[in-house]
Amino acid sequence: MAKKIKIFQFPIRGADFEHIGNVTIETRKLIKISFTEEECFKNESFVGSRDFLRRFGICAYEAEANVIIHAYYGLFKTILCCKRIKGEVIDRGPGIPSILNALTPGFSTASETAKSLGFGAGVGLNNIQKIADFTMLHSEKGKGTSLQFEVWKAKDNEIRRTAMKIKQIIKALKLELVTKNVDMEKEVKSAYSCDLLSNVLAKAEDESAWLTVQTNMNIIGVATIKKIPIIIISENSTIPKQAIAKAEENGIIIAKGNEDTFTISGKLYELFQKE
Amino acid sequence: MKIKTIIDVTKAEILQKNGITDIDIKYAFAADLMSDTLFIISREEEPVLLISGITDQSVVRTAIILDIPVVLIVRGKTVPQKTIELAKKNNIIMLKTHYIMFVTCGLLYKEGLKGAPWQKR
Repeated sequence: MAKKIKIFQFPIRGADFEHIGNVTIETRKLIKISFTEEECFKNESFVGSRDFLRRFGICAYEAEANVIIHAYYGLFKTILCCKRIKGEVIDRGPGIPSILNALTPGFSTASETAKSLGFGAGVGLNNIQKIADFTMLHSEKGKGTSLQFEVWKAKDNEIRRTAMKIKQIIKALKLELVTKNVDMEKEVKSAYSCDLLSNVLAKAEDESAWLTVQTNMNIIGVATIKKIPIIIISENSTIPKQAIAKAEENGIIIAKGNEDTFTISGKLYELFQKE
Repeated sequence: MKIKTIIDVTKAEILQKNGITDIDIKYAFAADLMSDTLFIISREEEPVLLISGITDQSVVRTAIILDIPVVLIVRGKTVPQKTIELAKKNNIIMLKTHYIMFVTCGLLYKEGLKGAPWQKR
């Protein structure tokens, strides 16, 4: 089937506080219409996914507000294709004096007018960075700023998952708890199964459960970096005492099971689906 | 919680009644800074009540972007006609109460409304 890309473009006027949000709302309407009426977008499973649209809306709103608050004029361009939406905001204005400062939550150089309307909380760029799946910011002092962000289609299973308490998981999978004195009330939303530490570092979601047969000291380091609250060791591998001690020190739970990684993964997957 | 209950509990007055009236609201979010409001991006499709002291059109636009069906203005401020018209056009119900934000939140919480689910980031 032919692929289709749609591009919408709107101008934004600086200091036009009265119409703050209009461009976002118009863009959102156009995207919604494309999702519901055009054949090539209809087949995509994100059609109707309000979360996807909302995430884009938030980023667009923040970006638009930035132009109105700080710049003279700007252009908002939206590129809509099957699996992602890209927003591009280019403005002519004073530029950002310090990008690092601008990305710090709470830092704002917005005028009093903007603040009285509820903007200029200093979380805009930070919000975009957190919500969008890709952000690129380029600014030249005295000339202007260009901000690009992309929102990708959410995976279906990501949406359905809800948090589960660690003690529930241990009980349901009949795991043996190795570490003592650790917080069992923590929650995890997903899990990652892999024995290669570098893959875990690169791909595992933060604060998820981790399934592995590796039992050396390094797993604790990796878990600490990725904020993994629980490591599940499969096939009943022996865990060195130092690793256990280090895990307890860092508040990481280690639990082990008799079955292999495949079986435990499968059971864990079912648990997350059921919840 | 039905909209009627919200009105009863906060002794609110209806500014604009066009919209989805038969919803059951479970969550609420209170903020004056619109950027803070944008932070609640819940993955759940439950309707959320927005409590705010901002009477500008931006409060309605925020509600549209976040799919919020009801906005409650606190402290009995006068809401400009332009804001009400924008809400009317976009089917967003607007209420106004004379209580301050803290009291409004407290009353609604006591009645069983919960904070909007947010993601720790």
